[in-house]
Amino acid sequence: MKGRWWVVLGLGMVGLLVALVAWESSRPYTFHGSLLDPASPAPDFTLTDQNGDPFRLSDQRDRVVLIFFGYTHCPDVCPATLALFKQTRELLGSLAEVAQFVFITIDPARDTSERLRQHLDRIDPTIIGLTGTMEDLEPVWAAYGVYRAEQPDPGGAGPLFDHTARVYVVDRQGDLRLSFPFGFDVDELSQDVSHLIEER
Amino acid sequence: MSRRKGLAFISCLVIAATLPACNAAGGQPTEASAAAGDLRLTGVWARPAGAGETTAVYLTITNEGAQGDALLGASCPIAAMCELHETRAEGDVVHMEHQDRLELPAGAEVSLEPGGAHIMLMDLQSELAPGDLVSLVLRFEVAGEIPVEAEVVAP
Repeated sequence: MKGRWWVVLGLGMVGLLVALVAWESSRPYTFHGSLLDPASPAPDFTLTDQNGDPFRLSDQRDRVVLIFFGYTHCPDVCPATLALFKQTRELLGSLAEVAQFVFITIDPARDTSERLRQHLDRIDPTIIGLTGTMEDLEPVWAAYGVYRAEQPDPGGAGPLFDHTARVYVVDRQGDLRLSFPFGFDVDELSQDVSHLIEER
Repeated sequence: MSRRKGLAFISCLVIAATLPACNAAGGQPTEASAAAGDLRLTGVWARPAGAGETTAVYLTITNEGAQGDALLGASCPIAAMCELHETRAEGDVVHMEHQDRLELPAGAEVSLEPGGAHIMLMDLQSELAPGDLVSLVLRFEVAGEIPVEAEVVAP
């Protein structure tokens, strides 16, 4: 008689566990980044990478692409963001193989392919650095809503820029899905990117 | 299925437990420090950069005295220009402002860190590689000039 109660209790526990697992897996994922709803195709572009090769966004289908606009002479915000890109890539582990981190210059006068290569080699050579002519870049900045204003040269060492410092995230279908503000949390970005990589 | 969930849950726990350690390891202050009178300067570090490029020096200043002080600027032999700057964000746009002074109230710990106040070095005379030391002199209102060495730390 006593043994039967144990069986009932055991079955009850198993039932509860199954219900918990079912409830957990049915809950929709909540993104940390700002959701672009409805998602729309990310504006396409072709620019030149740090090796002098053309890079077209729409060739990256099936990868999650993270885009940041900045410049190599930027003393604080841009290298800080590229360092966070590197940390995010490391957190992604093997999933990073289907993620592409992209840095697009807002300073084409100084940021040649060669300078981008030297700069990114110091931070993370897997980040793609893109440049082009003003004619190539202006439509890209406009399409992503990037503000860019050259400030007076502080001391003969070249200008600084005020600029938009968001990170844009494009999913594997080529849709612009998320954006993150400057100083984002690397754990939150890597969780969102992992979800975008694994969703189908 | 439930075993896979269980494994995933345990992996999450393990990853979550190790994350703070991962973050702490990246681009964080070193042991370089200096003291002069009431001011203690700790965790002085700089980002790697190439010759002709720009970098920033970050540190924490603790004012252990009973009197307020202020950081007024710096001189950096390795750079053509060296200024006290602050990054400000307005909405999505970031911009930098030259600062004439950074207040250091008595008893306060003030951090110059990425995305905030920093010493900006422009037009570097030589490359700064991880492990290099950058000599600079910080200028304070009360404490006067304090030389420090910033260690170049990989991002």
